[in-house]
Amino acid sequence: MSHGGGGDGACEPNMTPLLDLVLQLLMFFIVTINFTTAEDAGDVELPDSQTARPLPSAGAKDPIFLNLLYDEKTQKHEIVLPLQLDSSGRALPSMQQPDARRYMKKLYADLARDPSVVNSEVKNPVIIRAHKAAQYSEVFQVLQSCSDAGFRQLKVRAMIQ
Amino acid sequence: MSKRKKPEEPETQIVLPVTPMLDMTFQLMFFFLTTFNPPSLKEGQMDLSLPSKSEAAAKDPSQVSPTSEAHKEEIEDKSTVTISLRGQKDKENRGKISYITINTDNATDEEIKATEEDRERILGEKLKTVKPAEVVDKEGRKKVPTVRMAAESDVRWSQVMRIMDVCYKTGYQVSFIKPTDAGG
Repeated sequence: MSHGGGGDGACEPNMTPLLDLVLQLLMFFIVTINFTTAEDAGDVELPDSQTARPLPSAGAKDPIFLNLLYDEKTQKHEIVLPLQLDSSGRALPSMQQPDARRYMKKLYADLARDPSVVNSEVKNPVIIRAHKAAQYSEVFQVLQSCSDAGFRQLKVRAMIQ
Repeated sequence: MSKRKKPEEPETQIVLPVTPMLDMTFQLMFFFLTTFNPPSLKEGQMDLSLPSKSEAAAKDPSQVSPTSEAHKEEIEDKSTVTISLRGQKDKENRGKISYITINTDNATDEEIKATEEDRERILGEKLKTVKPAEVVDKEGRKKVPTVRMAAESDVRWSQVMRIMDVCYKTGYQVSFIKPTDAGG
């Protein structure tokens, strides 16, 4: 064979195709990286739905994600707001219904204090991701907490079938 | 003479050091691989009509802020169709729906008892027949009729979602009301 070097025995592997491939892969991962993955706290298994619409590419402004977790073993519900921070900048602990209710009220009041908010009408949508095995009463309490706090836009997430 | 090679100058050969670059590239690749989380294409969302305000307001009148008057139109709940989902009582099927009742005229409850698929089909047909004629509001937007939906406390969310699908398919919006077996 002609390639593979001369008589000195030094065999240099051809790096160019390898590098090409690696850089292609790298490019792909850089392009597809999605930093806003913090919205899915824990593993919320969403229910299936035939009528859920795909997410709009440009999401609504500053949505509030609210996850309703359900543990099948302990049959306990937990509420997690993954994108919200407490006053000292730490992630919020998981909450039960009464705390969540208070928190949503406080959150609405905080958002309404923002100078850009007209008529103290907060436009931020609340996106509810409830576990498929969650009980209706819990989901309903979450919805009611949100609407009583004053949020006008509620959305629920589901898996498109 | 210019044609003659100077013997003291060796032939320059530029060798690109590939190894550090490869090292770095692999590091980067590893980072992106581990953080790779494809945007879930299967996840979709549905708009909700707000849970009926009248109840919440009646429960705690002090919470009704004067500003909520601005949303009067939204709050106004003219829907006459109410669907209740009754849960199975036995331990095995707990969380599933046993039957559905539909109330279209604020008077009589109609029970839909059948298998899961049949129930949904019957409900869909029923909703189609009672659907009001299309109303266009002042701003030219179509007004979507609303179904009020309640379930028993322990009915699973996925079961509720199935019925929600039926409502959306027939062109209704869903507004949730408090669980049928909730006290108070």
